[in-house]
Amino acid sequence: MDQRIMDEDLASVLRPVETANGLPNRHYLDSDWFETEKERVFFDNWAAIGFAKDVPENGDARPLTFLGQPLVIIRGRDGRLRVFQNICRHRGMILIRQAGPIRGAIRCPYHSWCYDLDGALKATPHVGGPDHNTHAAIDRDALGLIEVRSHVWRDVVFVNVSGDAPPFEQAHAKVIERWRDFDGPLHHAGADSGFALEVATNWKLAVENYCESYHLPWVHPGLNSYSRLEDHYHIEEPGLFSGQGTLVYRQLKGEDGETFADTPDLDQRWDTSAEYIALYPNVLLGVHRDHSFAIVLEPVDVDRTIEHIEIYYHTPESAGPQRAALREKNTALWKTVFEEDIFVVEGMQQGRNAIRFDGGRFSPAMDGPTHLFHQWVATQLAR
Amino acid sequence: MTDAAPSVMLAELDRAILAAHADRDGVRLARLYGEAAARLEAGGDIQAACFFRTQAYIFALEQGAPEAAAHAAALKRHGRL
Repeated sequence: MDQRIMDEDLASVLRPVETANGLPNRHYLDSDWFETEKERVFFDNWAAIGFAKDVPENGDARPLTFLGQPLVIIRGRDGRLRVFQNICRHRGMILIRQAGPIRGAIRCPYHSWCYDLDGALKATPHVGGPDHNTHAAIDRDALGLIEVRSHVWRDVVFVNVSGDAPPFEQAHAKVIERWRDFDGPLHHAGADSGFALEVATNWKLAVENYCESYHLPWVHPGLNSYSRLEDHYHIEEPGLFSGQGTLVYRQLKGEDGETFADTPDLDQRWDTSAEYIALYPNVLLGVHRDHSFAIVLEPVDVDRTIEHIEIYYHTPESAGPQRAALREKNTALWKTVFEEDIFVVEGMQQGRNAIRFDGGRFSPAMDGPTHLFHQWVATQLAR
Repeated sequence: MTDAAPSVMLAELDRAILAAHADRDGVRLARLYGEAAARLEAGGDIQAACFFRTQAYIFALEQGAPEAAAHAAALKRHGRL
């Protein structure tokens, strides 16, 4: 990447919100920038790749591709979740193609090298010649699966591909502390509590839109009757996360007035408050007294993103059969809200083709959280 | 038993092994390769027996089958592991 272009691109983004421009068009259109972001924004930080609930049992494995990296999430026999590069150390063959339980060892389909679920290389058949299964030059202890640093928080699986980010609990101490009240178990009810949306937009636009409440009256008018713009507040933690909170959260009620159970021992300030945070780079989170959600943004291409949305409840009963109808209603409501955002993020993506667009400007009163995200991306690219 | 009988038995095993490969049936493959190894070892062909026992070992490992340990022990005895 031409350093001159990089400097020009980022200088105006790094100005204060009053005078800053947003990231220039090419950051949403050029595959070169998409490639640069892979390393500096995603691999160098803690990025989300999926959900722990997708490997619920010991022995479960789930392969995935993250920005071209073949990875596999495995829950070991010890219950511990690990992420590995999904390749054999022999010739780089992809090991696991389908999600599911691993009964014994992971066997490479090419030459049948076998690995334990903790990554240890267990067997190298015929490596020393037919029916000779060892060779002095092949040190099994040095050829285990390549583990990728991972961490699970709020059921989201984060990875640090570069291996040199600070520990997750240190890097994200502020958001962990902010939402300490919601540290309890999260209960996922299965198919009725998750969905995915494929959106023709750059992943950053999904984050930018989520950060701000400015668009709510126009794009989510259903909120206007009970959650006005003035009932929202900014959440701004430079370099880490930003988003919005509401002071007027109302619990969803079923036909008989039933609600989801509250988080046990919750401070009463959460009775009518809820918060929505974009944890940089690619996780969008929401917490309420009785449920929470996580959205993992999967950047498929420079102009295509899959939003993986999962909803969690804070007591086993809320995730149980008695609340199935209410969960369906809740999932449908959130799906409607997130679908309402599709036309704006796709519209902004299309707008990035306008050659005279300068990245736009920010309302100092209303766009602070969004500007912080632009600044963070710019600082990652400028390192 | 005539000289032809062991080769007929092995040919039948071979067909069964190929069918198990076609079905991607690791449980059958572990068992069938193990049978082939045992027969070849009984017949004194240790090299061929160890080849088939290696196959049996690997498929048993993949399945988490308990006989994997016995196959490993047998291979170790013959200096193949």
